[in-house]
Amino acid sequence: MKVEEGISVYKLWQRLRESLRTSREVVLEFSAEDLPFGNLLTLKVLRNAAQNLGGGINFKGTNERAQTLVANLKGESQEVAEGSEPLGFREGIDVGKITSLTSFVASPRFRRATIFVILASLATLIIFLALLVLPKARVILVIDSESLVQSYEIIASPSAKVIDKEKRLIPAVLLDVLEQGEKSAPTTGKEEKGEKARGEVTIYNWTDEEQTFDAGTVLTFISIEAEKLRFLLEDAVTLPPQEASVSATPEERITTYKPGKKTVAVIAEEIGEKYNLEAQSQFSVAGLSTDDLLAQNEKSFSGGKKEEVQVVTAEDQRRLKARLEEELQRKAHEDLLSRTVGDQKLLDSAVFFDVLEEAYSHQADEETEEFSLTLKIKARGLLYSEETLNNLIAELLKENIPEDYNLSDEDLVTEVGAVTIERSEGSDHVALKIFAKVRSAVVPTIDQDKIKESILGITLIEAQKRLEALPNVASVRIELLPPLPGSLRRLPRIANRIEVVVKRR
Amino acid sequence: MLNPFSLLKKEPKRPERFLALDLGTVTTKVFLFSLKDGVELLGSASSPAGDLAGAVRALGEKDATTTAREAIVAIGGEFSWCLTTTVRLNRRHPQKLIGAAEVAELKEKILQTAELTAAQQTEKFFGDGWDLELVDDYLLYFKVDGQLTENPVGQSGSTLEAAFFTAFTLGSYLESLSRQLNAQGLRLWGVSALPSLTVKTLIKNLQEKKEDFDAIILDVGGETTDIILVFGGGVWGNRSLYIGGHAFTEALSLGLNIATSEAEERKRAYSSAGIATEQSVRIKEVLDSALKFWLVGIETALADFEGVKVFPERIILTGGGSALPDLKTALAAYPLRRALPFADIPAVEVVPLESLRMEVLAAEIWEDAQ
Repeated sequence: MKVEEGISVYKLWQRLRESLRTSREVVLEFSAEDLPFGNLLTLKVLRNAAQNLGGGINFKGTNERAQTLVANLKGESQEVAEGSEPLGFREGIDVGKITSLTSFVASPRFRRATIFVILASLATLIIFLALLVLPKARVILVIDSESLVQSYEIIASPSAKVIDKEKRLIPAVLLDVLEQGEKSAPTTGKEEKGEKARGEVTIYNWTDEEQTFDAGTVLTFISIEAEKLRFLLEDAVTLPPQEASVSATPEERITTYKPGKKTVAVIAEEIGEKYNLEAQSQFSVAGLSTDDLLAQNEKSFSGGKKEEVQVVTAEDQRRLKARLEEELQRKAHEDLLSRTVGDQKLLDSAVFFDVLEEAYSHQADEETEEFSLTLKIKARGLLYSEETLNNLIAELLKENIPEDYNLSDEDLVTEVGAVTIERSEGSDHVALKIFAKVRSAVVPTIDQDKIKESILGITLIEAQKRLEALPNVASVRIELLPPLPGSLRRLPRIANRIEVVVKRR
Repeated sequence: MLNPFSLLKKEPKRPERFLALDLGTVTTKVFLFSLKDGVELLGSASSPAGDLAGAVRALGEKDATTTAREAIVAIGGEFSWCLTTTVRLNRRHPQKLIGAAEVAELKEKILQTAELTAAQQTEKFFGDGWDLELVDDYLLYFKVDGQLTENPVGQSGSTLEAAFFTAFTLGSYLESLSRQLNAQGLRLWGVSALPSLTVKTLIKNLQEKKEDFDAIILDVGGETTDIILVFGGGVWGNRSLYIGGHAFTEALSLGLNIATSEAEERKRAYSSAGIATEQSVRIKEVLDSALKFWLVGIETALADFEGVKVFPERIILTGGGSALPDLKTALAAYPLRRALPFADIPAVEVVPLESLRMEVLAAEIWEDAQ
């Protein structure tokens, strides 16, 4: 029997009843599209009604849904036969457990739901990955630094081949250059040149003894107004005593004395025309009383003259040498500088000079209006590498950096202070002693990896709080790319998407 | 009920008037309500099933000022799938206070379980899965550690249990409905599931306490009888039996060899006891086999509810078809306890509802609008 389109369930039952009168089982074909027959209850009712009459209905679905209904009907019959177990926890109300998911899984609803879930999951995954991978953050930490000032004495020596931190030694390069030059200068010294006046004097001895005078005995010109010029005996002389003769008359006895006398040569004590005294000039002898001894020249003295001439002074020589030396040293320095390469440093005080040869054209006091000097010097310079010095200083500085701090490379300033040259006498050893003052800043050690780990995936505000709580952090700025809104404003979840920039305040 | 105001995303302003439609299998009934000053039934009309235009027109003729454009539809049992789902959660931290989020999560789980269950059930029942659309849901109860509670938020306990009623319909049916209404210049403003509406109306009409209301409701329509199983005021499940009042008309038509229309008239006359006794005896005889078939249907439908330990001892007959007095008599005499778990012989009562359901529906809309 086939279910007619539009037939009611009751009418169909009437027909089935009729058929069951003649046949114990009726085959009923139906399509599930006709609404009353598109559900399990209708089939069950017909089946039960037929069973009540002692008959049976064999349902045959003519479409897929109808066949499914028939299968469900049979399956349920089997379940009833086997005895299914109801579940529940409240009297009268049981929440049945889903005993079979297969039919549910096969349903279009499930399939649509599955596709939707898959697409939604993919979209979510893509968005999640994008949010995980794409966002970038730049964290700028401004750190308070502390200044560090240290002084070191570093030796730069040509004998050093490598940096020796223990000895504070760095290699140096010794360079020499020879410089030679000549320079002239006018003399500034003045000298009086002339002749001493000469002549002869007769010395009269008015004493009763013999008088001897050595060469060089001083005879002093007797003058009330004029300068008391002095002369010197050129030779020793011995004067006889005076002779007395008496001529007596009874009326008078006249004793006549006749001095002893000798004529000697004299020379003026100094040069000059003033010593050319006229004849009949009288002189005291050796400072003795002229009553006893008196000298007198019978002829004028002559030959005395005086004139001023230019001479080289020691000072002239010294000055000329200084100037020429300076010139040559400057030139030598320039020559040395021109030979530096790279970061080699040649300090002024790292150059020393030795005078090899010097020759003046005129000696000191020599009369001349101009004189010259020829000078040959050797200039030696000690060069060191600035980078090498800084490297050693940086190494030495490390020992002075407090724990948990790092040297800030940005502000390392090395001032080279006093530089002295050490030379050993009797050997060629030479070295440069450099006093270096280092100013630097130390900043707290920032473990960037640790910082990144601590702020992965957290909100901007929380990250700001955490970073500002770090020691010596003056300020924190966090830049997020792309700029996400609201609750998505979080730091990336991948550490290498976070850049940490440390700046010193 | 699918709150019309929840549909009014762009038009929050409620209409002054709306239509409530009961699209029965034999008759289409249209009710006009006003929301101006509270809920007021302005008028109603009916037409043969499928003739919505006729019903609206008839309404318009009655009330020349009919200007309603929005329509609420009470979806019949044959297109509704109702169930009550209970979920009990064992809480990991019993001391922790129950929060709103936890309750919301529980509700979500229940709705998901309900949809899953409904999908499984409809798949089996109809041989093909329904594209389910949730049209109504409401809470039946909360329990914390087995104790009923109005609101579990702020309480603590090891177990949190909730029961929710859910009503689903076919998505394609809703689309078809919307198109039918659009063709009449109407807009589908909201839908309600007739089985749950029937229960609410009965509870209100009978002035029963919702949580104490256990019953088997047989809503006898034209082509169908909706069997609604109610526990604690909530629809536990519903089935649509394609044997309704019209079956008895057919029985009379076949048995008395008269036209269907005449059979219908005689049936009405018989129901109102406005028929001669001898005719009434004959009608009774003719109706007997139809009644028996109907009773097999009722019994089969009740047996289709899986997992019921004990059925309620109260059967309420309602709907237009319940006017036939033989239904109550036959049902009361039928040995339902033979194959079904009834603690006692169920008592049968008839409660006609007529337009009351639509009024309850309108009242719900009004409350939602407040």
